[in-house]
Amino acid sequence: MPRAASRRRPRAWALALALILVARPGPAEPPPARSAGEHDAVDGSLLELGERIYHEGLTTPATPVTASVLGDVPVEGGQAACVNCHRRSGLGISEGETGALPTTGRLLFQARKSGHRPRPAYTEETLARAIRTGIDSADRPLEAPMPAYRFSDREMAGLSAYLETLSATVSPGVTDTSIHFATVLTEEVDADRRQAMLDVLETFFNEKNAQSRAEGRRAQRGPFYRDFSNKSFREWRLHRWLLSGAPETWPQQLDDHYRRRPVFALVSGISTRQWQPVHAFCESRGVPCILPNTDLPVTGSEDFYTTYFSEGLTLEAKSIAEHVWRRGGDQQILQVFRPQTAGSVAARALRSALVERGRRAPVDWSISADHEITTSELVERRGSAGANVIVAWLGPADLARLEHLPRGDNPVALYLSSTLLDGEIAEVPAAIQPIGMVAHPYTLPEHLENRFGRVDAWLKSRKIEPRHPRIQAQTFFACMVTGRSLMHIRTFFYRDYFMDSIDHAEGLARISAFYPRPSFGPGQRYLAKGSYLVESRGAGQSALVSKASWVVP
Amino acid sequence: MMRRLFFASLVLGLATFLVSGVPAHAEEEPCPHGHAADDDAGVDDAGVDDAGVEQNARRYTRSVNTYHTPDITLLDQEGREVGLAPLLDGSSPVALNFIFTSCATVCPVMTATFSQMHRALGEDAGGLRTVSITIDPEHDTPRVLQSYAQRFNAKQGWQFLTGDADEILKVQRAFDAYTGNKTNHRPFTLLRNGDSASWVRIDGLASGTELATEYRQLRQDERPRAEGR
Repeated sequence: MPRAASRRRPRAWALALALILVARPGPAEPPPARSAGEHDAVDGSLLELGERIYHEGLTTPATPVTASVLGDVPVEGGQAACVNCHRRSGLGISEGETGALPTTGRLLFQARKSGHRPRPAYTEETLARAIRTGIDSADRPLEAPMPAYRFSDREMAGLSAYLETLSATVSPGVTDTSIHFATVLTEEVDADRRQAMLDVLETFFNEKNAQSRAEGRRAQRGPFYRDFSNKSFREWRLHRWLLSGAPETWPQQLDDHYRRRPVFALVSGISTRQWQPVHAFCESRGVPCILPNTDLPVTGSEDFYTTYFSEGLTLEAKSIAEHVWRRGGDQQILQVFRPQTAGSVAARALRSALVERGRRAPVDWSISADHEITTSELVERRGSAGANVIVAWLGPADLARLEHLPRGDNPVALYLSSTLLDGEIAEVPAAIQPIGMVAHPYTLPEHLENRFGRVDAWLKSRKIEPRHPRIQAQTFFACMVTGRSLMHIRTFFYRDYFMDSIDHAEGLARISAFYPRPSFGPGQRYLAKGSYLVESRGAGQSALVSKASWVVP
Repeated sequence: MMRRLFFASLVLGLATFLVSGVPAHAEEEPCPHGHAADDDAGVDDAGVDDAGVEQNARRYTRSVNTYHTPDITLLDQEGREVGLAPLLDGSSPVALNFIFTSCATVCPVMTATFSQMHRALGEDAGGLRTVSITIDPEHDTPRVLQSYAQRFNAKQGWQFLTGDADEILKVQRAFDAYTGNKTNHRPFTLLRNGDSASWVRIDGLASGTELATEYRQLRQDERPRAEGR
């Protein structure tokens, strides 16, 4: 008998072993969708219907969805669009004590056996019941903010089909062992500034890849309870995308780069030209672009994939418009700039800001590249424009030519741009200090040492000279944001989820050294929204006592 | 015997190795409630609990509190300056909540609920002032608040307030609304009868009807006292 027993037991083990082998899923990716490829067969108009419901809260271009929340509160249309809470990735979010659970087809139609709110897999029937009545597949009520929708069967089918498409395919640029990023550099950028950015990026990437915590090994051998988070480790690969020639040729160059090496996201980047072509590329390809070094971003953007530090020079222009209004109402402004420069972009932004608010349009004075500005000319222009506010979108070389402006009967205010002064707001020429106001969307000089300390220490301990502190701090921050968001999404390598997770990196925002009141938020694509207006008199006399007011235009 | 033991331990060892190799994500999901973990302020990310059932049976708790309204000036959705103390501490009854316009969870619900409360009250509103203060002042400028108010068909007289970040922080602290981070906020509503020193605080998500009932109750409870003065 002992012999028989000894034969039986190994057979049982072998069976268990076989089961384990069969049950063992593939490598790092989340499990395949219940119906991979199935929605290809779904009628296109049904998918379109689902997409419209999800994103716009509309069942036809003119018919809002209707629903109620908390039992008696009617909501409709955009107020009740799924994307508001479940976000573009469909993988949900949480704010405070309330969470919007993942609602992608692949996760809904599989059971949640452990963790938050375990439940059986949804079927089409239980999903429809959940969305219409708020009772989940475990017969429990959903979270309170989930509305109960009045959907027809066809609308339900459309929505369900659309949910299957959400975060269904791992984004390009990710392999089992590496994740690819690119950084965009444009050729006109001064070599030293370019290198300042690259030093930070390359050092950050190298350290990430040094695997100081043996991430790669843990991913292979970690205990099962850490397995999932360890599996997300990938080597970070950085590609430089150098763009040359006219900006009109950039889209083609970007496409070529992307075709050669699809990347998961663009990190940082630097250009003195307008960022628009890169922005357009990212939106059309669905490639995240994280915090480039640009003073000329796309402004007023409600796009999804590009996130900026601020609206750059346009933020300064809008802040100046607002400050002028607060100080003296609708005043005539004379603005001076050189054509084809960042200053001319700012001048256009100021004009639009004033016109949009129904205020007097500014008088423009565009001075050609070879013309040297003089005080007498400025006085004459101001007189003929009838302006008592001058906005000079000029750099230090031009400003150094100006002498004391005669005070006259009408006091004149002269507004300057901190960005065009390269942040050196204490260096406003003495002659114009008494009337100068500087739009300064950055941390005040007296607070900068503290705020920059973290980055400064990081740079110095890696023997990187802080030659261009703003570029280096911004680049470091872009790396931090990328790292935190990747950590958060774990193996869910979906670009939409990556962007959604940045929306909630509110705590991280505070470590951005150069921005005094930074914040992230759902759908917000500018980290900083306001600017200081600093009296240059204060700034010039002592960098420690800026007289500044904060303006959020 | 030894061979059997050897074979058993071999298979067991192999099985253990294979089990440990099973990616837990076979049934894993992204943790939507983990975003707060991005917070350097160290906010706990375990906020979402399993109290779904209880929460729905009774989604809110009620308490009576006194608060000191800070003496500050804010801006309404038209960009007009509004003294906060005269607005909140005056003789009109007030319903107050804290929201931010890009909020992806409870704020839209709270805003829609205020509208529903008004509808449910009808004539009983009795000069009720509705005030929503943003906790994201850098983003929620008067213009942004104005379009938010339109999106929710906010009735005439409903004031959406913003202001300097430091002032907004003061208000949040004064009304025990500060949670360190806007995306970590908690839903609550404050109701105050005109000339009363205390506020009824509704923590959680009450429905429009429930808020209306609480408001009627408040008016009823405090009427004799007000009349007796």
